[in-house]
Amino acid sequence: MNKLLSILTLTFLIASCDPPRNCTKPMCLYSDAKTDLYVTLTGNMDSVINVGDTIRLKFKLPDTLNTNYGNIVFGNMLGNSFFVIHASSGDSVIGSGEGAWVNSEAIPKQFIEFDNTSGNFNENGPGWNHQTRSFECLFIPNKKGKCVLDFSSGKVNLKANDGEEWQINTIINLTNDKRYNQYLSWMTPSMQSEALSIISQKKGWYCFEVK
Amino acid sequence: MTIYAQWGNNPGVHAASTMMLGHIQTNSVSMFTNLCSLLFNTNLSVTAPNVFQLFAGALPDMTVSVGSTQTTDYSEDLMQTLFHELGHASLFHKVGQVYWTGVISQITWNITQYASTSINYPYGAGTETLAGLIQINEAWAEFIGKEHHRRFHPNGQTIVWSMGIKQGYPNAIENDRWFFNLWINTGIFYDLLDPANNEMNDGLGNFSIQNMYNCFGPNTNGFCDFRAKFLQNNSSENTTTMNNLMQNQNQWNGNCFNGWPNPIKL
Repeated sequence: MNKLLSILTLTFLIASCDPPRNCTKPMCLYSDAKTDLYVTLTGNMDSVINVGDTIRLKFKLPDTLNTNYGNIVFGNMLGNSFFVIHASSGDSVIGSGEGAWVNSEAIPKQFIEFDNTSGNFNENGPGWNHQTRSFECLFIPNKKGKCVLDFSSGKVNLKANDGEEWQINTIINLTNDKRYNQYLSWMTPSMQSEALSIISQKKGWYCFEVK
Repeated sequence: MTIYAQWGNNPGVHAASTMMLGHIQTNSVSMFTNLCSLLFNTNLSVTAPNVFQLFAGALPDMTVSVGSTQTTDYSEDLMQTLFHELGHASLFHKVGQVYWTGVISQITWNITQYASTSINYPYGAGTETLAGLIQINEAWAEFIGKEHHRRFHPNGQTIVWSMGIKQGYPNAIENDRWFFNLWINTGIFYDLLDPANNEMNDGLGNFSIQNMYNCFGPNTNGFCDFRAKFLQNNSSENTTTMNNLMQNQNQWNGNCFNGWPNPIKL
């Protein structure tokens, strides 16, 4: 019996070398804890703006996150916390997806407040300032074209004020007008239905044109 | 393959690994000893020789653990995990034993280094010496896991874990830009597999899994090496288009740099 128990124990410990796929701790590959963040872009929010105009993404994680596990009060933020930014432009759209551009180019970003505690800063997936829990970035297009901003999923790892550690998925919801019709007008009618089905699922999506 | 399977003591938690120790001919027992020492803080071959010999005679290629509440019914979560692990196993046959020894060594180091900082456990921060091996290994396995899961459930009638949340197809793969952290880019493979021009900067498409698999070898030490081999094997494809595809995924520039330190070559 002792040998059997040892085998079982050893097997369990070896198996646990890889992280669990689904739990709410920062070490897990996936967590089903999630929170919606509601963010409003500011700056020139016209449907057509000029080269050099600025669109600003600025928001702060609330002190209490409303999650599907209840309200979680921040103690402090932990590493590996980020969300994904895609800011792209092009001359025209040739596919039904999120900006299959002709002559694609990234929209220049100017980071004002972000996580600079890591040497691994990645401008496609920045994090919040660990102290202020804030993030601010300016998007300043430098060429004419059709543009899409897309802020997609990310996660925040934190230690709550009760000492519990969490990995919480963050879903960024832009409150601005998405302007789907403007986007669909950039493509042939045959692509519009599929394109709408794709982009309408994106909660952090925004389009505009630069002239 | 020798697979260790276990019902865990806690509910709802899956964990798995693909060590391939049963297929590594050199130092596999030594690596197993090291892992045991790491876990038990003792040399099992000395303190529990009978148990050690029992395991040494059937070293695990794969381990799978499920939660205590897991039923014997079909589980989508578990299926995705199993396909993920099989992705590791298939890659092992392409990259070889020396490469895999490097993977195990790096993960063992990460476990030791990051035990008290679970944020980077066990894949690391992407800055470790052999992080490129982890990058390729996990990106490929996650791609294989999700893609085969999708094929197992045609017509998009299911949801999987992707980028931290459970979501349906095609979003689960079209939006896929990270696994665990940004430096592990599973979405590059999706963009090569699916039709060209169906999303942002995705100018390449309709490449088979076999085509991508053929780009791996003992010297694929990261995505830069994968890109070079892909362009070599598919010489008619445009380098700029491939660069754009990778840039879209995680800001890889033409010099094959995306802000993460380049891993040291094996």
